[in-house]
Amino acid sequence: MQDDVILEVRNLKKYFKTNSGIVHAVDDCSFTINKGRTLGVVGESGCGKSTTGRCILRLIEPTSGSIRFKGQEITTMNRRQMLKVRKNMQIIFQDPYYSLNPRNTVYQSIVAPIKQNNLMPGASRAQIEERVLELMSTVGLAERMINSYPHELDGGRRQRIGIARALAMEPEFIVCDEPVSALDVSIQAQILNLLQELQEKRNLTYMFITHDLSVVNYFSDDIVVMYLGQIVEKAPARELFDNPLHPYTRALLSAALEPVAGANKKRIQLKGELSSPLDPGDECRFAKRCTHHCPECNCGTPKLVEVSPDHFVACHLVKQLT
Amino acid sequence: MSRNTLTSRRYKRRSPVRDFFHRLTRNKGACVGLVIIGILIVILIFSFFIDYKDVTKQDLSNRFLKPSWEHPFGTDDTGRDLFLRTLYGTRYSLSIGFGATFLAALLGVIIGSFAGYYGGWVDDVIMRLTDILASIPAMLLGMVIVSILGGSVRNLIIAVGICSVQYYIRITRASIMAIRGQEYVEAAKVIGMSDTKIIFTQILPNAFSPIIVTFSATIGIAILVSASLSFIGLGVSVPMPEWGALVSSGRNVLRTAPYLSAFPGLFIMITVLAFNIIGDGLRDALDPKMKR
Ligand SMILES: Nc1ncnc2c1ncn2[C@@H]1O[C@H](COP(=O)(O)OP(=O)(O)O)[C@@H](O)[C@H]1O
Ligand code: SF4
Ligand SMILES: [Mg+2]
Repeated sequence: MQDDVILEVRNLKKYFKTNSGIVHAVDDCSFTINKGRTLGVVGESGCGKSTTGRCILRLIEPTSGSIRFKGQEITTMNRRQMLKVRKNMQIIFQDPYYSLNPRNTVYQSIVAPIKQNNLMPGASRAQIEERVLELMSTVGLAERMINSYPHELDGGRRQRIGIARALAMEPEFIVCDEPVSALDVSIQAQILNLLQELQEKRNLTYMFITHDLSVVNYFSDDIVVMYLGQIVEKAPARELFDNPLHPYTRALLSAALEPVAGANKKRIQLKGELSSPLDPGDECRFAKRCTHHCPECNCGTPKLVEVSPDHFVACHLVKQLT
Repeated sequence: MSRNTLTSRRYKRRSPVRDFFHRLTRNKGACVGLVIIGILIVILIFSFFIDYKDVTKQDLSNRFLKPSWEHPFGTDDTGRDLFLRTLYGTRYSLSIGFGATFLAALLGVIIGSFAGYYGGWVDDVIMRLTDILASIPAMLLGMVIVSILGGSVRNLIIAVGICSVQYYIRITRASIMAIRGQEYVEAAKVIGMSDTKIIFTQILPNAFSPIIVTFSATIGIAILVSASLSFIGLGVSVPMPEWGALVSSGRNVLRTAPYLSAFPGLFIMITVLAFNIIGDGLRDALDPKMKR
């Protein structure tokens, strides 16, 4: 059952036409997620993580590529077919403040998916309320908050509403788009625990987006590292942390790890600005900031190659790095 | 089952309308404004019982009388009672104020929604035209339109309405654009809501409050502009006791009989002020984030 692929993304591209050029927000990304597993997607802000997640739910239309969910190609589906599939895939947004309608109470926010999709046909009002209360208790919201507005609650509780709303659809797959980035550090752990607990109980599959490697370390099975729209490294979580190969991954890791006294590992600093994926040339996109940079890096975009089982790296100097 | 009956009492529908009135009536300024508008409406109703003959009745033996019990606002150069004339004039200011503002809101919300929904070149064209409209001072624009159409209540409504349209275009476009990109709109999409349902249940209710606030504020502006146009003789035709026209006809004797301009002027000022403070109160009351 572990190898049961639930989501397969192939050569996904999303280009935005803007006044200043074409933004290659997601450029030829491929990955798979197995049922019940978590894929962590890591990268600095602006590297295309949210765009990838939104393409998978078809909240935005991909430019090209294939997305197969439970074996079905969804990029060519019409609205009605897509509605059916979306019941099975949900998203938890980064900022629970903006993802909740300020005019809706907790009850109204959580009941919306149930009513919209007629998930409880023929149920009485009391039964529906019971269901909302059950969802609230699942995510750790006290009953007395049922009539509260989002602005009356703190960030953690708001995020719990967002989670309850997603769970109301009983999805198998959830895109978590930086679900804790907007929260206080003290609350982050609570929400992460809740997500992990829900995954275990309901055999959920997550695509967990974050810019913070220490968060993804928490419960990812596999990790994809993105840089300016491209996947630069892909590996099982432990392998990635033990043996990071791409210069960018190494820089991210050394920035995330606490400096340990006496450790003789030098911290690698990320220098330079993150440029944007605006009309990129055919070269390594990390070249401007890379400490290993050499002339051949400017010749062609490096391809993802499998350096050891399940460990992929896109770097021209991959042989020297291993 | 007993549990079910219990829980059904737990979820209380919080009426947004009741919450709104609760917040509005707690705002002292808004209450004062509402009372003033209430009094004006009473005056308006009362003014329909005034005989137009009394309003225009000249009495040359009683010219320029100072305010007294008999003539609370005094009498003008032909001995007409200013009190009656001012009360009678309420209908012009209110109907031009409301009429022009309705017109502006109707046009502006429709045009602004187009700009906000479609973006791109539709938005570009609409906004450039709006910029041009906005760059012309309201008085000048009003003067041009009234001189083309001629002075009457209807034409004044059109002229003043066109002067206010830009506010509605901008505010509607801005709020629809802001809300369209909000994550809760995406969230509604994810749970399967159709675009039309999203527009009506998610976007418009949240775009509504700035429009209502603008409504109240622009009534004030409309009354002021129409009074100013009447003041310079471009408004309603002369015998009609529109407030701006009354102020205007008193200006030649400002030194000897200042009350002739002062009382209608005071009415204009208080009315404009009332709508403005109601606008402020509405902004707070319509925002659910304000403390109840
Ligand atoms: N609607 C859009 N129009 C133009 N550019 C966009 C749009 N949405 C995202 N982008 C650009 O695509 C890139 C990736 O954005 P995003 O996926 O939000 O990054 P992340 O979630 O990793 O921070 C960014 O450079 C962003 O500016
Ligand atoms: S290809 Fe070259 S520039 Fe790019 S990451 Fe590898 S070493 Fe650095
Ligand atoms: Mg993002």
